[in-house]
Amino acid sequence: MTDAILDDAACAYNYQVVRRFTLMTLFWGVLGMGMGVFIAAQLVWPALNFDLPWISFGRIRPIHTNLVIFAFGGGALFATSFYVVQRTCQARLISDALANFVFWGWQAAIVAMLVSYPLGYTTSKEYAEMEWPIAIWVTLVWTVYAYLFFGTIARRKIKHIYVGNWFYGAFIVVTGMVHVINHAAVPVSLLKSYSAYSGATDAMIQWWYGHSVVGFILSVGFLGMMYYFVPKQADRPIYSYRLSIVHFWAIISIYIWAGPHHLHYTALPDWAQSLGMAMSIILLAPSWGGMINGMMTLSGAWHKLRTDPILRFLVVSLAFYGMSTFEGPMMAIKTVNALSHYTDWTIGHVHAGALGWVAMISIGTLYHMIPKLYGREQMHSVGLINAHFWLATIGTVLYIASMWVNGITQGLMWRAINDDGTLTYSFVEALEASHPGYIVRLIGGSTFASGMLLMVYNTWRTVRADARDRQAVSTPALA
Amino acid sequence: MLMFVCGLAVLLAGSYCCIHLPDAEALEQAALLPFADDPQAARSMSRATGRVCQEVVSPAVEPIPRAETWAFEA
Repeated sequence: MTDAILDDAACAYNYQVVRRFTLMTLFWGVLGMGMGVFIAAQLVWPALNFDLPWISFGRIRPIHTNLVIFAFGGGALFATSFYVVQRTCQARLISDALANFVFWGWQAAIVAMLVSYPLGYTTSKEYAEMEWPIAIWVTLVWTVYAYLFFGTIARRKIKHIYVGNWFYGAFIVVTGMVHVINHAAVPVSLLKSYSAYSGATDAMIQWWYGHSVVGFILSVGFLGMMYYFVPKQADRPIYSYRLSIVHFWAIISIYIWAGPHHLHYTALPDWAQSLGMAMSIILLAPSWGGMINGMMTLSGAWHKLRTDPILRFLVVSLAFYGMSTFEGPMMAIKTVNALSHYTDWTIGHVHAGALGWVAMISIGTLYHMIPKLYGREQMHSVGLINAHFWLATIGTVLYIASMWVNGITQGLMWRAINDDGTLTYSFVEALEASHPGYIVRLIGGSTFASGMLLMVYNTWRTVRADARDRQAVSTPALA
Repeated sequence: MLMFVCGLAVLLAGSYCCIHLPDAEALEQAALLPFADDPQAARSMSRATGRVCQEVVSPAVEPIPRAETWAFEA
């Protein structure tokens, strides 16, 4: 089988770009989560900013969020979407050169963000901090990505377009749309611009974008991943294909309306806040429809969880998805939001989704994909995958539990008033009460990030395996 | 207004697609697409569920990067 080591010209599928994105996903994942651990440590020991402006919390935090969302999460989506679209369409990507352009172009954009944020070049819009030259570059790369993805679908050898591709397609289209609209700006110099919108309109556009990042990158994109890799790892087709189609149309119709819940009790018109709340609550139905569809795929195969840590990653990610998509609509209710808003509860909710859902389904998927991409029967060590699973699960639970406790503590302390109407607690008292939670959060985050190091080692050993241990990568003959 | 029109278009398209679903057999084969290019997985799935993927493509050898020369040639 070692004869399978050939030149790429004979390749049926373009796996090279998938392999590259896979490796960079791991690299950026470790760096992005490492940044998260660092800023978590800064909240425990503020002196860790060393009085240097470029490593202060305010500058490192957007590096953390951009790396984990766009570099780690984005990388996982690029890798898996290219993998899934080729395999379910039984067609090679339409252009190797453009695939290379998307890979290197995306890495260049990430590096540009990584350099510009510590230097203080930022639009100050959350998840949209990149200044206008980077935003234009990202638009170009994204357009080429869309051309590659939909072009491959157009060239498919199978009549039906698998539902996972529908989810990836919606992720690509909507992300491009909200990116362009939210980044509309008036440049005043090479590295400075002002938003094209102002006041409450600017805030509304920003959170329409912000929640669409959550909805269409971190939910819809990863649901595309779920619809391919859960059935594949469980050796069973998706529980209900009919439900998956209803799920798709329901979730893309509703998610785009939920943004205003980020702006409760602000200058945004009250009707818009209430509309955002109502749509967020309705969103629970399609979210749980998809979660149940994924979970029920394991009907008759639950015993596999005892021996298959990859499947465990995938199923536990669905459990966290169900939990965070229940919590989100509850937090969007204005009366609940009055307690939770601006507290650490929001941070806990985000990380229930980010660590529990996004990272864990990405990790499970990459563990499934890496041996196939490198012609191995399985990963170098299943035991290490198992250890990684427990580190990730324990880390996530510690993280979100500490932030729940902190959030409710902060919310209750901030709203407590004395009989004469004065505040019972000062802000600093609430901050002191939060300190133990910050320590637990640091431990949880570090635990999660340490699991990523095991994954890197396991991947390294798998990739570097002796050629004699390799197999040919089986792909269809695309005559 | 544009948002409303777009939302309505998505709603109508979604409703149409949900009502005009393919027949049960076509849906069954669509659900099995992840196994259609992987004979080993297709066999394993059939053993476990009794469902049969009608068209499974035979695998061909696909090249993998040479480990000993691996730099960033992923």
